[in-house]
Amino acid sequence: MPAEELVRMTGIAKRFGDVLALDHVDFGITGGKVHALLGENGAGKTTLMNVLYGLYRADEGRVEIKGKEMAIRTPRDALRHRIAMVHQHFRLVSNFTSFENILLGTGRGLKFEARAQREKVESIAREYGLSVDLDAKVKALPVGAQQRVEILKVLARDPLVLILDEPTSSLTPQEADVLLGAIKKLAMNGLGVVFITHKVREVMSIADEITVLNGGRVAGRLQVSESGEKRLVELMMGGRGAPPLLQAGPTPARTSAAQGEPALVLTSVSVGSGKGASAVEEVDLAVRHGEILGVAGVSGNGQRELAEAIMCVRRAGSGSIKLDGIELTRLNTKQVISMGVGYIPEDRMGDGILPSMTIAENIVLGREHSPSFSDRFALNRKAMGAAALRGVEDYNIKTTSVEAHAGVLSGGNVQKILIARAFLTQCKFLVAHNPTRGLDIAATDHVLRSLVKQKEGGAGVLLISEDLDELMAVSDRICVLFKGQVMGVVEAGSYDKYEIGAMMAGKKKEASAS
Amino acid sequence: MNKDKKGDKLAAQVATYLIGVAAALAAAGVMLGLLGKNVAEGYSLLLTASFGSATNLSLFTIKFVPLLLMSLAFAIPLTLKKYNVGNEGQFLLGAVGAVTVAFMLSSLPALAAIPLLLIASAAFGAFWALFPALMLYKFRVNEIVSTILMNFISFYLVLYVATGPWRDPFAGHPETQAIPSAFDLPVLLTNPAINLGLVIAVLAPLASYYYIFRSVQGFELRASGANERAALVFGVNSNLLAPMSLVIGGAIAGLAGGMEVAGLQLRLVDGMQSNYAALSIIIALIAYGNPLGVIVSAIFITVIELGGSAMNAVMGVPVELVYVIEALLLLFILMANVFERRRR
Ligand SMILES: Nc1ncnc2c1ncn2[C@@H]1O[C@H](COP(=O)(O)OP(=O)(O)OP(=O)(O)O)[C@@H](O)[C@H]1O
Ligand SMILES: [Mg+2]
Repeated sequence: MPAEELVRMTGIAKRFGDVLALDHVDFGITGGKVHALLGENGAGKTTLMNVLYGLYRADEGRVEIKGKEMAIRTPRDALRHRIAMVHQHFRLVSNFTSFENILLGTGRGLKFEARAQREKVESIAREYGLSVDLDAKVKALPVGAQQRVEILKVLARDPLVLILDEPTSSLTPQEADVLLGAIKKLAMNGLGVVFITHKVREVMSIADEITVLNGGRVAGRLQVSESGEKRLVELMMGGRGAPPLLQAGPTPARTSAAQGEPALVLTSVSVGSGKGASAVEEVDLAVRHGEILGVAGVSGNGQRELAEAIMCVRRAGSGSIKLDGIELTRLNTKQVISMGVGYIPEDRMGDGILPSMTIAENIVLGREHSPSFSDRFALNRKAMGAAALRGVEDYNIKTTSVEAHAGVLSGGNVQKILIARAFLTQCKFLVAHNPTRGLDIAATDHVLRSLVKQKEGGAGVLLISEDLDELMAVSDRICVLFKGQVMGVVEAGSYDKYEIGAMMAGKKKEASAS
Repeated sequence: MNKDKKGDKLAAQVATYLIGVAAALAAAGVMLGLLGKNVAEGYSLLLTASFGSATNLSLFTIKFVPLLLMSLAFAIPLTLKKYNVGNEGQFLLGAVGAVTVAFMLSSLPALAAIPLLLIASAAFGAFWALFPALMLYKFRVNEIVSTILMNFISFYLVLYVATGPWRDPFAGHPETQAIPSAFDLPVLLTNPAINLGLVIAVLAPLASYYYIFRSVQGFELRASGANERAALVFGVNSNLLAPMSLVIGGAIAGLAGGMEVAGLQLRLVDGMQSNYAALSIIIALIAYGNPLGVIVSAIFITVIELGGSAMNAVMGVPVELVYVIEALLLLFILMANVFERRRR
C-alpha cells in the first residue's frame, strides 16, 4: 500500500502577543506512519497541533488535506475531516461515566445511538487492548484509565488522523507500553498518527519519522531508521548540557556516614480514600535528613493519599506523622508549609496552578504569609517579583514576564512553576509527586539535580514516582507501595528492577534478602 | 516592555468596553426612533440629567453613592466566586441599625453620633450576612439561596421597625420619624449638595482594591477564586475565607444602608432599598468584580438610570426602556469580552 500524505501544513506562523510561538513551520502526516513531534517545553508542539485541530487560527500558512487546501476554523471542522486530538490535559467531565464521556458530542440532533455506540466502543477497546470500566464515573478512575477514556473517545469517531499530545506522560511504563502497542496497530490500519512525547525510548520504539521543534522553528527532521538514540537525545536537548543523571544509572550504595537524623516518621498511618475503604493502611516509614526516599508503585495504590496526609490536605484516619518530632496530624496545611515543607502535587492543573493569576503569584503561593513576601497585612510585591524571576531563570520557564498569566504557559512550563514554587527556599522536607511529569529531557535532569541539591542541603525528600529509572537514579532507598501497604524497602546499591517490579505487583519482599 | 504590554492589555480591555457601550447606546437610539421619539434629544438628556446642573449633580451623587457601595458588597465575595445577592437585606439592616442607634442614643453629640451610626450600620449589615456565612461554613449551604431568604426576612423587619414605637404616624407610608439631627451626615458642600457619604464612597473602592490586590488575605481570596482546590492544597483556607468575604460584603452593604438613612432619607422608609441590589449586580459583573472598574461602571449605570428617568419625565419614554438598555449593556459588554477572547 503506497503511503498517502493525509495532511500537509506549510509555513505555519502563530504569534501570541510578543511571542512568536510558531515561526513558519512545515509539517506533514502520512497514512500508516507514526510521526513523532519532539522539542523542549514551550517549543510550540501543542500550538502547532492546536492549529491543525482548529483550536487556534494560524496567522500565516496553509493546511492541505489530501492535497486540497482547507480552512480548519473549529474542532468541528477538524472532526469533519476526520482529524481527532487527545489533549495534553484531560478534558473529561468528571461527574459523567466513561461511556457518557465517550458519547458526548457524538449525537446527531437530539439522539444518541447509545446501544450501537456501546458495541463499537467495546470492540475498539478489545481490539487495541484499552480496557476501561465504561460505567465508572471518571473521577473515580486512576489517571491511566482516564487517559484511555480520552483515547477511546476520539477513536469512537473513526479518525483518519490522530493527534496524541503527550499521552504517556501520566502513564506508568507498563501502561505506556500497552498504549504504544495500540498506536502501532492503529498506524498499521492506515491511520496517520502524530505522537508528542519527551521520552526517547518511546520515540525509538514506535515512531517512523521525527520532527524536532525548537523555539517555534523546525530544528530537525529525520527518519528513525537513520538516527541513533544518542543523536536523538542530543537533538532533543537542543545541543546543550551535560549528560543527564538518568543516563548515569542508579545511585551507588551510600556510606553509612551519610545517614542523618530522622526527619519524617510515619507510624502505622492509615488514610481513608473518601470511598469507604482506606487507601493507605498501617504504613510505617522513616525518611532521614539528607536522604531521598523513593516511593515506587503503580498509580492509584495510595501514593496520592499518602502525600496529602503528610501535607494535611487530607486527614490521616489513624497513626502518627511526625516531622522532627512534631506531630503533623494536628496541624493544618498552612502550618505544615511554614515549617518548611515543600510540596509538588501530582495533578498540576487541578491541584497546582492558578491559571488566571500571574507567574509571580503562582510561585509564592503557599508562602504568601512568610516574612520574606509580606508584612502582617500587605504583600511585598517587589520581593515576590524578584523571587519569581529567580525561579523563572533557574528553571528556564518560557515566558515574557513574571507578570504574565500562568494559564497561557505550555504544559511543561506549568510544571516548572510548581517546581519553582517548591524550591523557592531550602526545604526542611520535600514531598515530590511525579515532579518531572511532562518535562523535557533537560528540565527533567535539572529537577532531579535540584532534588539531590535539596537533599545535600539537609532536606529529607519523599519522591513518589511511577518511573523506576528516575527513582533508581536519585533515591537512597526505594519503598514500594501496593494497595496502600508497604511491600518492602530496597537500599541503593542493590536495586533490582525485577524485584521492585514484583513488589509493585503485590509480592512482599522476603525478609532474608537484606 | 513589560509596562507596554500591560498598557496594550488595558487598551484592549477598554476598547471592548467602549464597543459594548456603543452598541447598547446605538440599540437605545434605534428603540427611541421606533417609539417615534427624538433620538438626539434622548441622547442629550442622558448626559444633562446627571451633569447638566448643580442640582442634577446632586441627584447624581444621591444615586451613585449607594450603588457604588452596594456593588462593592457584591464584588468582594465575587473574588472567590461567591454571589452575595443578599446585599439588599444587608443594606436594609444597616438602615435599621442606623435608626436604632439614633433613637436609642438620641442625646449624643454629633462628634460621637456619626461614627457610632456608621459603625452600627456596618455591624448590622455584617450580622445579617453572618447567618448565611455560618450556614456556608458549617453545612455548605449555597449562599445565593440563603442570602435571598435573608432578604425576605429583612423586608418584614423593616416594616416591623417602621411601624413600631418610632413610626411617623402622619406619614401615609410605613416609615419612622426623622432621626435626631446630630446623626445627619455632615454636609461638605451645598450646591451641588455633597456630604460625607461621597467621600466614604470614593475611598471605599480604593480601600477594596488595596485589600483584594495588595493584601495577603486578598491574595488568598483571589487564589481561591482562581482554583479553589489548588489554593486549598497550598494552605489557603477557602472554607473560612468564603464566609468571611460574605461578612465583609455585608458590612459594606450595611454601611450603604446607614448612609442612606443619615445622608438622604433621615429616617427608615419601607422600600428605601429601591432597585439598588439588582443594579449593583450588573455594575459589579460589568467590572468583573474589580473595585476600580466598579467606580467607572457605577458612574455609567447611574447616568443611564437618571437619563432614563429624565427621558420618561420629559419625553414620555416608558421607564421599561431603561431596564432594556441596562440589560443590553451588560449583555453587549459580556459578548464583546467573549469575542475579544475568541480572536486568537
Ligand atoms: N493561549 C496562549 N496565549 C499566550 N501564549 C501562549 C498560548 N499558548 C501557548 N503560548 C506560548 O506559546 C509557546 C509554545 O507553547 P506550546 O504549548 O505549543 O509548547 P509545547 O511545545 O507544547 O510545550 P510542552 O512540552 O511544555 O507542552 C509557549 O511559550 C507558550 O507560553
Ligand atoms: Mg504541549
